[in-house]
Amino acid sequence: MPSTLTVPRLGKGSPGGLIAEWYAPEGATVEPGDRVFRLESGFISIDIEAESKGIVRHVVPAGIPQFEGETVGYVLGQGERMPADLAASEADVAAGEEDDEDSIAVSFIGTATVGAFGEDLGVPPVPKVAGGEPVQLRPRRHLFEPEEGKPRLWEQVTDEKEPGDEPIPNSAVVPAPARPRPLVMRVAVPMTEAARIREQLAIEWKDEPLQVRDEATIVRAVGHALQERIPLKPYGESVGLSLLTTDGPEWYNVDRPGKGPFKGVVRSLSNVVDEDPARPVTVVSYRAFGIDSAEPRLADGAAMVLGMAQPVITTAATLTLVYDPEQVDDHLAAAFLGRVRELLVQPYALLAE
Amino acid sequence: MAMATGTATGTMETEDTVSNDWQRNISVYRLGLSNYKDTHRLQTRLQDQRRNGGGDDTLLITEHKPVFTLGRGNPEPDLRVGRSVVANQGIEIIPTERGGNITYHGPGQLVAYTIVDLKAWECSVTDFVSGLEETVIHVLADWGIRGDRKDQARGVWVEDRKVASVGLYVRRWVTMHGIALNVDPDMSHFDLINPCGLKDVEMTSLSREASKGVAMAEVVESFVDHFATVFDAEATYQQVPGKAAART
Repeated sequence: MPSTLTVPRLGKGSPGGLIAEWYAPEGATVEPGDRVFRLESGFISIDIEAESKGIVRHVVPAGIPQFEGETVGYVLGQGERMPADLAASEADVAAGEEDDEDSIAVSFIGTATVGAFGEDLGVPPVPKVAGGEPVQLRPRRHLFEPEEGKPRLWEQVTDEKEPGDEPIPNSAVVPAPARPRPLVMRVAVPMTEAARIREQLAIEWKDEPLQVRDEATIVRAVGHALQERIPLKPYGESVGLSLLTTDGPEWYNVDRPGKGPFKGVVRSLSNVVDEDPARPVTVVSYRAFGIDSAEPRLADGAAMVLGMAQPVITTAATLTLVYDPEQVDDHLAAAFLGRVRELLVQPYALLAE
Repeated sequence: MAMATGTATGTMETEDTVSNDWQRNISVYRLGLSNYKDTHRLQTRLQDQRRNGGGDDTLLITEHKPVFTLGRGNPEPDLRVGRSVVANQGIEIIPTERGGNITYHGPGQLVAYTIVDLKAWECSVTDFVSGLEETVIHVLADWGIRGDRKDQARGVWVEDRKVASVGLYVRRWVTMHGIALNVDPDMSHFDLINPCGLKDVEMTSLSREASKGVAMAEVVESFVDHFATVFDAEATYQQVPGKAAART
């Protein structure tokens, strides 16, 4: 019987804590009494030890808050396997990654109805009738320009096939989406190492008229995590990272933000900032992940500002992820946020792109 | 050799059932002014002993030479000034394993480190932290000052001014670190940091709130007495081995 690693009961007023660090990496062998992970709750730091000898398996990555009693991992003895339900879940994921592209074409069509700031972005427009046939609409996938003060989230499906195009189920008439019930997940991220790679990025971008800031590293980490989690085929080169100016309706989709064109992200932002230096720009949408909006916030509570003239120096950032639980299960959202955190804590993988 | 006994009348309400058949005992050591790293080594050794089934539940009372300490989750110091300013004042910055953010320790501040087996005490972690805060609130009351807790920020507050900070590290349900009460420290040192990561927090001291000088020895006695009462424990002062200066 595997030994279960759970979030212990800390007492009244503390519903759980942050899985701050896995001392034992995935697959590590531990002995009874070895420290396995650290839980943090406010001013309390608790090291959880292994109760038996075995192999450590993580269920929840570091950086994710968990409620009391939640299973965060296992210690598997010789010949023991993961519990059946979890193993089945893993098998499903593996199968999906191999051959089930439809599972990636998440039915998040229309979920972008609530912006990062709670504003109603509206429902998909009523399809215009052309020649008696309804016009097919789908979420826009590529960089587009603002349209008369409203974000264009939808585009007409045409016969022109683009690389990676896949039919979207039931897209003949776009159904009015149910208003999502967004959940919020936050994670604190030490930015010590992320700040240190700014100089490296500056060297890499020496020919670009760009200022390198910590926030750019956050965007890069987000893009990196997106690409790891989402096979790109169903969406071609676009993974749907969108940027929104906080005081305006402009949306910018960015293709493959984690790769070379990532510079384009910053360039786009720079263009926006050039037009109005006082206008902050916030990353708000990771639609391809089924996440309606993610609003990174700095430690002082200010919205994450990209490309601002005023440098923002911080030793820690709090990333806030707002997601639709009907589209994304908690574990997936947590894994995504945890991966972003990992990339920012140890950001050198970002330089390898 | 110091031998004094705290009261054994409990007032703390814990979530768990408290049996009357057992007795919580705590050994109290007054270390006087101590170097942070030396005391930290002592804490670690005592915690190791305790979680391996040996040793005693222990309360270490000390004052430190000026030092800033960092919590595990915030390894970068949250300073209001440059590092060079801190270095020029000869104040070391030391990372620790406790929770929480940066704090200051220095002469004139009562620091109470607790090495306690919470399982043996049948006390939850949060009840233990609340008990430490409760202890300080009683100490303040002895000087006619009303201390309170805040929902969103732990520690003890006098109105909106913070007078005591708490931070704990727990392994196998044995605690270390504890609570620090500003009795009459050099308050200007707090201006170098954002205490506990709070940017606009105003720190205060018992002496400042009482508008008079306060003797540290009296505060220590008050703290130990109230600790024993709050936790329903029998406190026994112990002589610090090899420390001739241990006082009764």
